[in-house]
Amino acid sequence: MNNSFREIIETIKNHDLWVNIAISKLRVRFIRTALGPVWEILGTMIFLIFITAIWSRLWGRPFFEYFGFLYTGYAIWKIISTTITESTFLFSELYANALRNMKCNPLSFCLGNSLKNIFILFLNLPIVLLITIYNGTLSIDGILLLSFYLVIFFITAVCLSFIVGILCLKFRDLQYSVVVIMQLLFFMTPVIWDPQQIAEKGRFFLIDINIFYHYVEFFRSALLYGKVNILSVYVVSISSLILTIIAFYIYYKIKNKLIFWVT
Amino acid sequence: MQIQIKNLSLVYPLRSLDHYLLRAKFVSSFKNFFQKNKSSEKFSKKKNHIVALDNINFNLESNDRVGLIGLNGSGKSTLLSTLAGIYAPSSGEINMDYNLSIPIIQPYSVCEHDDTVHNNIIVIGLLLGFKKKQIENQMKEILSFAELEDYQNFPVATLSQGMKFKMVFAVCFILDGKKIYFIDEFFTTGDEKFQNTGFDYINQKKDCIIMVCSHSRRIIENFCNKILILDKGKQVFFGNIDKGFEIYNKIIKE
Repeated sequence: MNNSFREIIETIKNHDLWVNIAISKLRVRFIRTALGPVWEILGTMIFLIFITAIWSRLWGRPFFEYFGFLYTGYAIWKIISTTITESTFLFSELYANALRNMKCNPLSFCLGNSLKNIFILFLNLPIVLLITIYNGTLSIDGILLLSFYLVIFFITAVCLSFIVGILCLKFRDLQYSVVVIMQLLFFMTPVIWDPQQIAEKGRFFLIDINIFYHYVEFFRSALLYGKVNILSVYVVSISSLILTIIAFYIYYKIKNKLIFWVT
Repeated sequence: MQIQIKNLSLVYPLRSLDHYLLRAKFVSSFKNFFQKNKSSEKFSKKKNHIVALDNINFNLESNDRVGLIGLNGSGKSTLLSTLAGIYAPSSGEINMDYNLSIPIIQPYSVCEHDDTVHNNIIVIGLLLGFKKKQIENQMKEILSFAELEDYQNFPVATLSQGMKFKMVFAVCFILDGKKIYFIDEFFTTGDEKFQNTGFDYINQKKDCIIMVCSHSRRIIENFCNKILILDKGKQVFFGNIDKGFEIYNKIIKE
């Protein structure tokens, strides 16, 4: 147990490796494009402007108010979804060669991949901040809550990447089912629709016990309203803690077996 | 500096692809239902294992150059990977300082082909356990040795196989701080000119332990002072090169 803990701490301390993995993956993502990372903002903007133009009228909401709601929700959902989807082939494809040929800790790749996704989220933050400034909702409280959220989100993303990565490496059918589940969850979670639109009957299943809702809501409320529902704070913090414990236990149990599942 | 290997064994889990297929399980159960001798072809849910390394024992000291030789499937690469810490041994002991060792199994396989030579050198170096500051300090030396000064901002995809090989070689051997090298067969597949240059360079390294896996008698005779022969995961011989090749020739004839 102590060895596992020490290995994890050493991996985290070796930040040069995972920060460089993140930067390298981000650089390669936009390589040979003239606009580079601007595409991340541009792509999301174009898509959401069209969606907002239609749905703000459909639901009778002001364009900019709905655009802010949609952009913040979509930006964080995209990162949650990408983190989980990429984790399904993190060890079986993305970093399989490194695991086969180098003596490196698999957690380095979870840290690197999660950081890359946080960087992508940062690319969207200027637009989100512009929206909050336009709506007059930017506050110090919101920035502080966002900082706290990003730390918790990073920890959650690393642990979840590891857990999903290992499960999908061992049980390859999960690779395909996770992708389908994430697509379903996109529609079930209030990313593009407002939680207030749901009837009281369905609230419990789609909102109260939907962990993904709390992750989206925390980010969105912190930025748009400068305050967060206390239930979401608890759910995000506790789920992060639980995932950390599960990830540590799995690491302790399978660290020597993992390479046999890769090869 | 020493490496002590005592009773090292590695049991490798093996599973047929049929094990994972629901269709294969279904067909197997269906066949069993109509066959008299059910037990013989019953679809096995048990794990199959192979003893990839069986009771390996040897000691190495500074300046030892060991040629690792054996027929295909004898466990050479598995032994290198186990010594390098990629596989955890099933039993036995490996006593050495892992901070000083470097596995040179197939380092070019981790190249990010769309990223630049410069950035790939940094990531490969970091994955091999070097510090970023050190890699940046020795970057010029690496690029110069690999003759890639003009290509440092080009994607690795634009390099020829030979240039990639030189780049990886330079990262592995130019960077200081490592004393134990485990070199897999890939290195001995380069052209003869670069092999000679490479081995000359490696030979200049003092107080190092180098284990090189090869099928080439020429490389082992020119470069090594000891030989380790494996056959079906078992250690057949460890020691003098001439005597080792006599034994190896007998294995080939069998």
